Amino acid sequence: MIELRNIRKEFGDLVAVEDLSFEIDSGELVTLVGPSGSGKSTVLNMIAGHLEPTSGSVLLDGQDITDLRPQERPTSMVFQSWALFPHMTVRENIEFPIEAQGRTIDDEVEQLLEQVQLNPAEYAEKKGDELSGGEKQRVALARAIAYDPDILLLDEPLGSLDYVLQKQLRRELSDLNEKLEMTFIYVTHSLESALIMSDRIFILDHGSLVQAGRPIDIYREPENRFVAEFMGDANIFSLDSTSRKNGTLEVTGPAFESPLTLAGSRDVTPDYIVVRYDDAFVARDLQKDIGVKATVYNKLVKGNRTLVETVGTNTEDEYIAEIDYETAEDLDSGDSVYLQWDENQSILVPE
Amino acid sequence: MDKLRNRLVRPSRELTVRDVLGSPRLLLVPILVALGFMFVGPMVILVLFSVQPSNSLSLNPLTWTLDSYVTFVGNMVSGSGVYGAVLTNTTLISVFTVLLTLLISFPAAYALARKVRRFKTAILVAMILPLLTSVTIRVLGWVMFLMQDGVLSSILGVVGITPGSLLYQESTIILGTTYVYLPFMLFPIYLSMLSIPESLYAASRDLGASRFKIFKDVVLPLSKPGIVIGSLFVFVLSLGASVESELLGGGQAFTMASNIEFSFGVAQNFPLGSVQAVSLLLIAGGSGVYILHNIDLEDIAQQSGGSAGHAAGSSSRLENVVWYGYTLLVALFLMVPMVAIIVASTYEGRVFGLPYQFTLDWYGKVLENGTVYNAIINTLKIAIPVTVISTAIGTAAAIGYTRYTFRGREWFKIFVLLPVFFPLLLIGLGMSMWSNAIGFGNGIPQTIVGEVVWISPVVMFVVSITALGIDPNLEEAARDLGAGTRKLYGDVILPLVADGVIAGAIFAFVLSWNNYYIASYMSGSNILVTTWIHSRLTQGFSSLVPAVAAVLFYVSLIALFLAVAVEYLGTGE
Repeated sequence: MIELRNIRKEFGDLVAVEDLSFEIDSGELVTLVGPSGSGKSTVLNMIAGHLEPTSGSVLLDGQDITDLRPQERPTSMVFQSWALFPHMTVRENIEFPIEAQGRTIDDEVEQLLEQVQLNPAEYAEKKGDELSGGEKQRVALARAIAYDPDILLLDEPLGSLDYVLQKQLRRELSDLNEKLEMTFIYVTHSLESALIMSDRIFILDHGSLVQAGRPIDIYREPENRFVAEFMGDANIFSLDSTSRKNGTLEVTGPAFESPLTLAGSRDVTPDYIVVRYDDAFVARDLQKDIGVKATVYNKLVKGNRTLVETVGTNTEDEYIAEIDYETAEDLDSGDSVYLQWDENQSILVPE
Repeated sequence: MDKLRNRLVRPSRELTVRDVLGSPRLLLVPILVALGFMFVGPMVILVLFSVQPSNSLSLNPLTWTLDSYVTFVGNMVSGSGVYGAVLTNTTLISVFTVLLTLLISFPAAYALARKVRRFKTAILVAMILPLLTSVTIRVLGWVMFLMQDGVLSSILGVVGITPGSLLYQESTIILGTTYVYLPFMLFPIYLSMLSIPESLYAASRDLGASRFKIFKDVVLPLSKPGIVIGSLFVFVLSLGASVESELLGGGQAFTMASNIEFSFGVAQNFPLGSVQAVSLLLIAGGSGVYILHNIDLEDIAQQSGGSAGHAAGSSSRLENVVWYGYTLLVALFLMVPMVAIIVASTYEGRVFGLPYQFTLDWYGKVLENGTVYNAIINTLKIAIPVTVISTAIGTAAAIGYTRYTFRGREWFKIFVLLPVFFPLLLIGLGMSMWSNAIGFGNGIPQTIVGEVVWISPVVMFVVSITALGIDPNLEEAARDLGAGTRKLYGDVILPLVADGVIAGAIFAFVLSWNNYYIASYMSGSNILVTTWIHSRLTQGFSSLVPAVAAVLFYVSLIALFLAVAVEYLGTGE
């Protein structure tokens, strides 16, 4: 189990990570996600030992490893640029960590290459610049595993690959994680990767952990507006007042003609109602529980779905609903409509 | 693609490896000690001498006066004595040199960056070659070419034109300085043109810009850094041009450099010479700091790495012929003195004549001549240790500079590379005065120390360019995979910078082999190849001289081809 306790990291005046604490169990596949500058790569580098935290500690199975150098830690990293040694063959790259640890080399290179779906006979003697992006990625992975780490750190390793290859390697990484029983900590800005691969997702913003949990839980119950927006395109309705009455919430907001009564299950006082594009619906008449008056101004066809862009009558904010192509056929620019949704599709979040 | 990736991972370089690996001090110490001893010392001694009473030959710290400054500035302003001529001549020569080199370089740099693709390496080698050839040889070559009964007049004589001597005029000095400093203008402009992405030209054409508009609004502004740096460089170096004015000007035109040498040599007025040296020093130092502060070594590393993939714009056949023709002409111009020397060295008579009578006898006589043989041995006794020592010092400094962050890193770069921007005349002069003042003396070991101080920075520059081209993640990866310091250096860093170190060593050898100024001021009574040639040019010229110069040149040529071969094998292209 790896644990970060009250980690803070400053670069000059810039505070990159602030009072960060979390635990990750052995064998878990955890994704750190967040926008650029959220500190996710910095966190990964501190776990690897490439960066020293300004304060706080890193613990591995209860032991403080904060002061250990990278070569002394049971962690290894797969870099975004892959960082294959260009003057060495694939074999020499993979043997590097084994030699560094003073272990004898048997047929590890062959085994590892097979593990990452590369034919050893074909690839072992090639040099880094003779490989394609996907192949480099696999060799970098094999080399990191050859170190036999407890924790494998992956820094956007799929970032520069094409979409099809990303999908394939994503699956292979998940399989490896299960087979090797190794902890994987994966940094990405791709929400899709995070949602598909992870046991848990950690969402970072401005150097702080905003929310951690299973993908489905974060999707359903985002902690705040930032997470809600980060987890998928959504409409945001700000609220003016909220009051609690016998387990229900009565809220008012500039977008709504009259107060709404909602089943408020969480104890937080919401500042916003968040409605995802694909939960929202648009029609001339009100068919759902909650509706906001709006005017259609544009339609974007996205395969068999259509994004209907509207302007709220009361707020002049932009609201979007993703509906069936056929349903949207009826609507034209300038139509007065209701942007509407069912009560249980309202996600209530604080700022 | 590779370039883009480098740019993307760059921020993490500063944030990661360097602040963990700790102190680089040990690696930086040797070069700082060397420069402190043999660069700062000599410059300080010039300043100290400049405030001594007129005609003092030794330092007396108790008496100091600004008399020499008053004399110097007063005479400059009033134009009395030789000073009026010195000021006009030097300024005129420097300004004309800047303008001429700029005029010649700009189209050539553009063609090299965008149009020339085939034979590009060969053309670049031809342009770098003069930089690695002794200034005495290059000037000698022009003398061979221009002198009465020389190459040019003999050829013109065939068609019935008999020009008088083309030597010993102010314009000849300008030809010499233009020739010698052309590469210092050409390469900065070339580098800044390389950094203009091809997409900008495409975009400009796309947006309907005419050729003139593209030139005026895109090429010119974006190559301005190169123009500024090149101009400063050439201006400062031509202010200190001494061999050129001495040999090509024949002592007819007084310049700053010749006047400094006169004050120290004939007139024995050290303070007055020092005042002039200090004024040159200030200009050189100021420009040097400005240039170095504006040079980003990481950018140069990326330009040199990415130049291969530069696609030429579409141009018509005729246009290509013009660009190629012009570039070849510039390359040819740069080769003139070398060719003249080789031609003269294999001519049976004194220098050159038509019909040409070929012989290799002079080369045989070179080997038989005891003085020349000794000069070659002496030069090797200096060049070999200089190569070994400055490669070690320069490589250590380059690794320390490129792989670590430390306080004052920018100032370290500026200070260490500064000697490269100083006229060698000043460095040689200062070194010999400093050496005498502290009782270090002169001779072969002293020359080795002097040259190490000037050449180590060059090695550091060359190795740094290679080292900065390495993905910083490689070092992190090695650490990450369990490599200790020994394995990190032995298996990763040194193999990756090996090409740069070899290139640096070859440069070091060639620069030492060709060095004239430091050698002539520091070697005392020991005769070296370059000083032998120089002395024979002013008195006792014989047909042996071109042959010796040719031998000197062949060695540089072989070394440069080795360097190109290493680069070629290294990139695998």
